[in-house]
Amino acid sequence: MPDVDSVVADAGSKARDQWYGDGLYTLGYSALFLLLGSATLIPLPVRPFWWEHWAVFVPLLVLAYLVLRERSPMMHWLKARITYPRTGYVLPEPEQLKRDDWKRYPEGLVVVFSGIWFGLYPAPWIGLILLAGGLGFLWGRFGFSLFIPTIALTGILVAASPMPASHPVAYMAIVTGISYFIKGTAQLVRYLHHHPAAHLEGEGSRV
Amino acid sequence: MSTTLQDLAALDRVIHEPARLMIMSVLYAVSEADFIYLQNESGLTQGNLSSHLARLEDEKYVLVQKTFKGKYPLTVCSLTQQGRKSFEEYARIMRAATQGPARARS
Repeated sequence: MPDVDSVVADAGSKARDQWYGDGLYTLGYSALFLLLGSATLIPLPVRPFWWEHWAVFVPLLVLAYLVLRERSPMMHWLKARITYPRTGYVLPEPEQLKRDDWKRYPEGLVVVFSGIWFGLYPAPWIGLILLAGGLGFLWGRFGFSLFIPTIALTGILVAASPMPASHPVAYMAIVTGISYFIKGTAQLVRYLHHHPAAHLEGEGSRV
Repeated sequence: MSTTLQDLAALDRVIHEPARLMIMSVLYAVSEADFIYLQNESGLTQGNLSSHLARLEDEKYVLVQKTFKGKYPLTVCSLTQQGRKSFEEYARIMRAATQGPARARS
């Protein structure tokens, strides 16, 4: 006889997987990081004071919050065209959505730390890749982490770029955006491949 | 007759039916879900799912709302407060019934 608690837990996990499984949130994060990185690299017409960068970042972060929060109309608009007609609509419990959030903190810390590192030592990226590999091995039990390709790509970009590494955090943000873009696109393609729309045409939700 | 056995007799028969138990389990785990999602998860036919949802709606365990997300029509289902309480009571009785024998054997 199946245990009621494990059946409910399994249903919650499946709903969460479906919520993020279409890759739309990952693509949203990608756009955010790319915008943040680009905004830092754009030369301002006047000599920037420290607060002028905040004038760019704060509206972007507010926009990101409005677009990427769980019940945002923008995400529902996208999902209504891509996800709901294929696999139906489900809104997981807020606790389910926040379940693994803490795993992102070490990733974010490593990205910021590496950004500062590149600012001080632009060349020795091989050491950082090795460091990332070691940390990735330790964190392997939490699943694949995007910080490994992010650091590797940033190292390659900094080493190959003719530009001085004067904006290390911008490089990190751009490469993080590229990593998220690759991951999100792969998720979306896989989702669309597994759930083609053709045989679902005309199938609305009905009771 | 032990207390657990007597509790089993008090199981909510509306929830105890397998198809409705599936629907209630899914809806208990999420904030809300639409008809297609429930159909995919439960494997029930449209007719079956409709009739079981109607039965749960009659008992005021499930709230069914017809709405739109963009142009996409949705029939959104969620558990009512009463539905959540009844499901928790059902789960409590089942837990006691299935864990009791396990404890007795060990």
